[in-house]
Amino acid sequence: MDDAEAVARSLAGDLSAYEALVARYSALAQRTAAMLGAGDEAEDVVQEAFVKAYRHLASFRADAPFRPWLLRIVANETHNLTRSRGRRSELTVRLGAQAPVTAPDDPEGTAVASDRRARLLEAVRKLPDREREAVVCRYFLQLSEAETAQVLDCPLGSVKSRTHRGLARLREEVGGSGL
Amino acid sequence: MDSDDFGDLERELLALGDSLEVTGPPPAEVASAVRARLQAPDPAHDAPASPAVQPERPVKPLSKVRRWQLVAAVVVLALALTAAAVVWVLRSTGVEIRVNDPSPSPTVTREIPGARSADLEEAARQVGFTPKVPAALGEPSEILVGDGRVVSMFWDHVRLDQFAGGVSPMFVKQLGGPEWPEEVLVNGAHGWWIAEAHNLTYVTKGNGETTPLRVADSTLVWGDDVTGYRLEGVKTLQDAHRIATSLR
Repeated sequence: MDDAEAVARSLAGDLSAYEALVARYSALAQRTAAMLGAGDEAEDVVQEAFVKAYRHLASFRADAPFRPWLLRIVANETHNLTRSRGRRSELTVRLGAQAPVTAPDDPEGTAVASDRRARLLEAVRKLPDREREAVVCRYFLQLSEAETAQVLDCPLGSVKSRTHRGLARLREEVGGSGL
Repeated sequence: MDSDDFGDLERELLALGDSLEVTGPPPAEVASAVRARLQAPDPAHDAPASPAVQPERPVKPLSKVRRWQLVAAVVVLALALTAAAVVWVLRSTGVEIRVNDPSPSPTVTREIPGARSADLEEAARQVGFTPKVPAALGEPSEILVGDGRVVSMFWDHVRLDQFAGGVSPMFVKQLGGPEWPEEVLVNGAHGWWIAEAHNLTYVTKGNGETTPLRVADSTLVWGDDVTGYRLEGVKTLQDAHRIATSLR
């Protein structure tokens, strides 16, 4: 059952089909919410987003991709949450997996690399909101420019310029490639 | 757009993104929680706004009992969902350290499955490598071989485990709090110093069965390219480091 079929069946009232869509996208939705600033409340945001998506399913264009449409709802819910909490939307995830720390050939190099990664993450976290969101969508969520534009609800040109400004700032902050 | 100028940085960001782990409830759990909410009474609100189509199963008003059951189900799910958090996973040879991953503490202490007493020679024969002894501690009072691949040596309150390291972890250490262990070098090999008590689990060779071992004391883990080590029970990093670098 592909997305289009699952959406069609959900619209016809088939909750099992919608459940399949939720299961398919829940990890990505969770990641998106956490990375756009939902923090500990990412689970609530995700659940709310899926409920809202279901209610608005009729407004979804059947020939459009479901993924960015859903993630835009997740992004909106995250914004609502951070606004209601009166806090800046922050990148709340932190470094997850490390490369094996015992790189046999170059242990010091591994330490340098993980330090650089931590600094790069810190630099991303400190970017202005709009630039950070564009960088997060493009590289951490690996969305296309078009998808990013849809998720962040801005023109394609803005995605390009925000990403570009963000990258320039990151380069300034952490320097050229150390890897 | 001169995006090519940023090629290296873009690749770094992609790799960084891959290393960011966000954990949440299992997808099936999210799906059933969402379904439970959509099936809650208030069909006018929850049905997709598609006038032409009737829901497959008409939503009837719930009896009082069923409504209560539904609320209970949603509450349980909500509790399960809020427990999820961001876990950081660090690795050393044969050891996985999970930071910010609270788990119930083992109530009993277990030894590695199949652990048997052995002398150094017998231990070497069983595990296929020559175990080292830290000169700083002298001869161990006891040696065990567990699961046919871990040599454990014991002194007063101190324990050293040695194992041929692979990609998949044999030991999983769960740190409840968000603080990272301290990254250290032991004779040029990378390691981690975990000052706090933490839950220790063993992953059995072959079938991957997990055995909660105990609440482990402060531990230094490190590894060279083939062998992993964990030194448990030494109070300070300085002492642990001194013992670790005295392996002969």
